[in-house]
Amino acid sequence: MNREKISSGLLDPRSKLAVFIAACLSAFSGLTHPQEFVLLALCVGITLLCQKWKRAFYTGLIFAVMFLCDLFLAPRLSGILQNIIMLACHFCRFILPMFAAFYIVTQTSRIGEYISAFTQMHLPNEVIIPLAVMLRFVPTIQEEWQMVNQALRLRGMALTWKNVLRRPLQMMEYMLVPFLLQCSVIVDEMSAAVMARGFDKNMPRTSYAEIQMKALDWCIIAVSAGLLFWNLCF
Amino acid sequence: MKTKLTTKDLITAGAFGAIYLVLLTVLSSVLTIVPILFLATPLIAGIILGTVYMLYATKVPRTGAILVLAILVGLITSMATIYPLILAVVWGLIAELITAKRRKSAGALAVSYCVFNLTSMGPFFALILAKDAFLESCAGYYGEEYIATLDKLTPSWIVLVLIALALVGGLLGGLFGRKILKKHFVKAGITA
Repeated sequence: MNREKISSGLLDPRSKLAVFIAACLSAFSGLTHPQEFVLLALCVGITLLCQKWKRAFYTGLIFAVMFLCDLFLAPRLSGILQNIIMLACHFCRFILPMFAAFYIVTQTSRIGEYISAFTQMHLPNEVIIPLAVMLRFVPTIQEEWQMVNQALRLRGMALTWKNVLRRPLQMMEYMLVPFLLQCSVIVDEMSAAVMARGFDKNMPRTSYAEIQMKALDWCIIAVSAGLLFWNLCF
Repeated sequence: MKTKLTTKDLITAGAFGAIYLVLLTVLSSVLTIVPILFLATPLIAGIILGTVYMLYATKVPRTGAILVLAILVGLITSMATIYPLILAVVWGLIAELITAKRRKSAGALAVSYCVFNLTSMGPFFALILAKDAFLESCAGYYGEEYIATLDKLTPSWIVLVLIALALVGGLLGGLFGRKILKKHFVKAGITA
């Protein structure tokens, strides 16, 4: 993890979470074109607010390419090629806002900020800890999975369709066992670190990161809620 | 044995919840591309995720651990409707009851996974409850041909087939997980 790159920034983690929830819910219930634009603009805007210039640019670019392809290229093609292009464009556009929102949630806030935000909301520890750990753990899963995949490829057992179809059980064992072993070691280390920070004491915790809902956060939450309402009701 | 969930257990729950959900999401989005595989998601996801579940449940032998995982899965799968969450809680409670007194027995855990795997039915609720609306929203993403195939493959009794698939997947996954657990993780001292 490149921790030094993560800046705490202007935004409250709760407003990022609100965007993420709005993105997921509305992507799954289907979007019209204007709604899609608003959602993506929201995601890109927040990526910009988090000072991830490059990321925001690429997200916008991919969306524009997909959209133009869909509008101009797809109707002119026919047969199987059209199907492939349609599938690629639609599927990518379906997951793009969720992906962008997820990136914002996991990569632009420290885990301490989430914990202090949730604590301010007076949630019980039973809710805070699993949620915070989940958000922290997803990038780790990705890293570990790539490591295992690299090691397998080196030994000629890469995760390809051919290998999966020829020896499914063996592939599963070879992928899952090292992956889970590695993950459970990390979990143990993490809980040792958390214990060292005194999480299991019943005292109210203090926090280094000062979290406060500002006007901008309320605006973002209002926009997400409005988008969700617009999406679900019309 | 202490029965209350400690902070350490909650951390393990969060981490394994993340693993479970990431694998479930990746699997279901890869499988969605082909209609027939989309319908087989409960089976395939059950077989693969069985190992994760078994390791988690053995690592945290406390009452409530399975329920926490069930709630996490329910929260993520109930994107379009609220029903998956409610049902996930129900399946989690049943799985807890099955393993109530025998938390250490891998057999009981395998049986409980059989029930728990019904949570992977979550994405299909939209298909069962509001088929036309679901197909319509899918048509935008995957094209008409996909919808026609999916429509043909899902008569109204499909829900029974899906439940059966989920149960079989859970059973196979549980048994496979038990085997892997015995072969690798117990030896490595991970389950303690």
